[in-house]
Amino acid sequence: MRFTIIACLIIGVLINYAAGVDPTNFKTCEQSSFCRRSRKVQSTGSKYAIIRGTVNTYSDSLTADLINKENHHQFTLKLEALVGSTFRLQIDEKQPLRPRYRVEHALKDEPKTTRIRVQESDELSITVGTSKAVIHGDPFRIDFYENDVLVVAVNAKNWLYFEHLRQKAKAPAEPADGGDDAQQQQQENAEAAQPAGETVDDPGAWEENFKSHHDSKPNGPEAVALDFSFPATEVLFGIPEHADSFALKSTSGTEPYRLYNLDVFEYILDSKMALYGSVPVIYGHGPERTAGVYWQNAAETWVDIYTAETNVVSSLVNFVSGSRKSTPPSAHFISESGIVDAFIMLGPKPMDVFKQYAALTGTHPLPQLFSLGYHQCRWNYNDERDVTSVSAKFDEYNIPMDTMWLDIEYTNGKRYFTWDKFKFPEPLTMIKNLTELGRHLVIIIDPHIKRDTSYFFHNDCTENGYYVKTREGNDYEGWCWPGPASYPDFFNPVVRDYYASQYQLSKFNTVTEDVMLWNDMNEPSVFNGPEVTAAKDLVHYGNWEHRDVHNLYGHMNIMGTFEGLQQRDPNQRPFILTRAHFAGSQRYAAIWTGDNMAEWAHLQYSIKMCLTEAVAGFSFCGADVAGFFGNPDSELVERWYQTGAFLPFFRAHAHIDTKRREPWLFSERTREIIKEAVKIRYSYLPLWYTSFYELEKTGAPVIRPMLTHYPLDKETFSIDNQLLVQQRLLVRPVMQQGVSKVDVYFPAVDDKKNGDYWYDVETFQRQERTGYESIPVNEHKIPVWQRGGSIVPKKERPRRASTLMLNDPYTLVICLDRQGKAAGTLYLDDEKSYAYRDGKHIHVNYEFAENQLTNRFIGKPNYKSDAWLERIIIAGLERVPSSATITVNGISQQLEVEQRNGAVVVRKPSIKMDVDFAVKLNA
Amino acid sequence: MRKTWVKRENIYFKPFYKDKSKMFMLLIFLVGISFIVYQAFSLNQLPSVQQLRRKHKQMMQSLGSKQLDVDDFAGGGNAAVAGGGADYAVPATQDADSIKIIRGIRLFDYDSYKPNYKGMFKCLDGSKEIPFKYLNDNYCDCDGDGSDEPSTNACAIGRFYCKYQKRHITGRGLDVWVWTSRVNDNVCDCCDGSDEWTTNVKCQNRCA
Repeated sequence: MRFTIIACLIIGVLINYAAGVDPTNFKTCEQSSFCRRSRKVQSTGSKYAIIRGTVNTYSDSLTADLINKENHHQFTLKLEALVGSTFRLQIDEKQPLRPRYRVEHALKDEPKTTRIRVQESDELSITVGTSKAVIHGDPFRIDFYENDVLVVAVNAKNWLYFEHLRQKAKAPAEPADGGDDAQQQQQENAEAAQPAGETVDDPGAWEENFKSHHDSKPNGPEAVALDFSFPATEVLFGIPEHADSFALKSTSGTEPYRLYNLDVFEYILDSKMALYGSVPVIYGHGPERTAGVYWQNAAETWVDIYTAETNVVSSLVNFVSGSRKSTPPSAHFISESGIVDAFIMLGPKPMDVFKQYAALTGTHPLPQLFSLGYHQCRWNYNDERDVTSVSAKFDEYNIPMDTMWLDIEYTNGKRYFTWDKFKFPEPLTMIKNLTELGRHLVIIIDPHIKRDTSYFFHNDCTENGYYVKTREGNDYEGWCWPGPASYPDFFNPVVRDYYASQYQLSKFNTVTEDVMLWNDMNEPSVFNGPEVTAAKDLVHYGNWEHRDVHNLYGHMNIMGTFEGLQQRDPNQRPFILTRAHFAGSQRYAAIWTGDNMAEWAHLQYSIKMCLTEAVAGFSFCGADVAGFFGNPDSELVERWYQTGAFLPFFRAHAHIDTKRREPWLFSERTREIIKEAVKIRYSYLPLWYTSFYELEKTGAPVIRPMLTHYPLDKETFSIDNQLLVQQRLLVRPVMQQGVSKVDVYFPAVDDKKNGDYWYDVETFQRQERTGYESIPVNEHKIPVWQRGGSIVPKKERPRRASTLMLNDPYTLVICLDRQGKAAGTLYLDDEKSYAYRDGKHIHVNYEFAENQLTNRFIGKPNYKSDAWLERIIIAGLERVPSSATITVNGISQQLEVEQRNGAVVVRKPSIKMDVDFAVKLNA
Repeated sequence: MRKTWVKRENIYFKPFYKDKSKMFMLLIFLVGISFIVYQAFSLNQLPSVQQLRRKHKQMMQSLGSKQLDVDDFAGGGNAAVAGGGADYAVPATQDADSIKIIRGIRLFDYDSYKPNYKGMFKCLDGSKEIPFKYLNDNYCDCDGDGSDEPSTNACAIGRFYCKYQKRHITGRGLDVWVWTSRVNDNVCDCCDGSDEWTTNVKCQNRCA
């Protein structure tokens, strides 16, 4: 019997996998009881008001009691002022039946509050610096002003909806079979037993069925919802992860955006369906102001977006009537449980908001340099010989490669922390062969644990009760790669410690401290669960329902891994790749966009998705190069490598059923193009590394949407097929089949169509005009420009792996702006250890003005590097200088100057990186 | 009247010296003889057999051993102001009598790595002429083929010929080389480890 069930399951899974994603396997808002209920408020509105006389003000915050005027349930409200133009709004029940879940571990640390000034006139208002919150009592509403401009309005639409916890009405004796009857009876009963307004008129309030899955809802209805309007803005973006455009689309009349970590197989594009990660942060942007809201809630969340449709008709109407759009863009967050915990970030510029969000949830710490190199992955590299020979082939074809990856098949029957003894008899030798070449190995460890009594991890978890429990208190058993599997409850610190300790080399002694980790399937993915994930009525540590914490599961998983890797080698920065993520996961791991497909459209969406992730904290983002499912043709492979080379995480990956597709298996042309793309990536590694250091320091995303630096240019608001690397490079990869030119948008810095100069990084040809420009491309061309006014550090000596480039000399590429000036930073350290936190690093700002290049150290240059400066390339000079003079410590020396395709090259300054110098060009 | 065919020679007698082809051959023969005679006068300028043997031995030694003799860390190039970027220059003055193989080139190119009549070095692809002191100064001047930096990793492309070259006694065999990007990268690539000559890696000799 059991066997047949398993067989059916396997067949079911296989059929499912053959057919691709079926959207009906996932809930729509209409099928989800709480979303349905909460969305109703959009037509009726709600009536919440602050109870007079309950307002208390403190040095940094304000509290008040809130009442639902319909059912007279009371709530408490707390509004805190945080450092950096940010406010935190919390609304919870005044006397809940049970405590409601408050998200833990997402914030970097407890946010710092700041002093407020309270003013009471008609309305109560609190002021911090240039930001101000005005609280309206009845109807309840809070307006947030930045420099006297209204930027965020909370509950402006009166869509606050807070289902208080309640006792389930006594069910009649024993409900007969047949859900509908029973539910109806229940409702009647409930209505009879409780006063009006206490019931929630929805059949799914106390239990819910989806497909064959039953969700017993012991706590009944407990949804929270609130609307945020962004009056000073025109476009909304954020709330990853969705395979959708960067600018959010209006959801009126369609499905809301869904945030619920799910393992969606062959996801569809241009869709609001939930994917692997959930980061509930949204930004509103307009030419004058940018603001954001971080909705801290780990339960399933739907987000309705209302933006003024900018189609021809409406703009005509606006033009005729001469009015601005009447309704500002707004977002309605609807969560299944928890409390209202919202952070309102007031900007005013895009970069300010991104930094304000980074101040709350943290940033990705500076990664080891190797993780910014090229990663070679496949499900699966079959055995030790396969791994070694693929690595050797990269050397044979002279293509740089840093990391080999092993997917699930390396394990002994999907028992993590073990190796397949036949395919991988000597993992340590294999790892040594890789590390001797400067390469690394990354292996996968998933959170599903095989239920097998001969598996130590399973036994430990069973004996100590480390697994997630069912409602009845038994270990939850699902189905995943190993077959029957259970899931450790990472919310329990003891379980996390146990899991982390498994990474100790004394326990997991078949790897070395250089082997890094990949945590996949941690949504969690449960093949036989509702919507391919765990049931919502499971019980976690602290007696919280899975419903309350679902979106945090992956986050807690990687927290454990990070802890484990740090304990394993306290002086090495861990590298972890995760699929599921929540706000704050960026502090531990990089992400990728999951199981995409080898199609041109998926290539285009890789940039859109990573841009959204980048503004939501996840700069370390990439997509499976050449697509996970399916067999790409050689042109798609070429273009995907060219695109992937300019996304922060650069990994080729493929499904087990696809044809092998290592670079040398294609024609020579394709192989050469791949090699060029990878080498370009390696030449820009100093820029990537500097960007990641500055991300850790300031929270400024590494890759940025155009609007970040060109907020006044409305055309940039919707551009998501080109990106900026810091403010230095503009990348617009070719992502269409068979094109001979691409349209590139060069943004304007003001509303008079003035723009920066942009220099083609290959030819140094200068773009001086703003607007769309048609750029001819051939198969080798990656359209990338460097901004005039910027200095980009490079290393132009490609090696087989980035770790071998540590002491290689630098090249500075200086592109001049209209005033003949440029500036840019460079960061360097040992690229591996935590010594940089003790100041063992060099961070330097180069400035070029009046034909002279000088450097200024940011902090003390306290790292001894053998690297030196071998070349300075200057583009945009009006005339070619005859020579250059370098001055160090008062000693001068002549340098030779030569011309190289449109730029001037200063030959061999031969200067150590930690020395002050000046290079002057002689007329 | 009936015409009869008569051979030309039989009609006109042609003396030996009027046959151009024969005279041409004779001329060549005479020139050859006079050249040999001329050469005979300079016979005494040839090195002795002992000298030849010594020179051959030197060449073989320099192929088979560490060529530390040609590494001049201090000289050449524009000495760095602050010591950045070691200059690995070929000694400017070549001892005429001893043969020194520049690290990383093959014997075939031996003559190309000498200053030309202008005292310059011409990239092997002929694209550029650079001052001879720029040879092996750890800065890539011949972008096209990397030929000015055979001993260093300065050029993105280029070959480093390992010291150990396995050859048939007749001289046949493929050149053993690695990409110059592998030079001094802390990984032993040549079987004799000759590609790691500034790093501290201890390479085992794997040439069998």
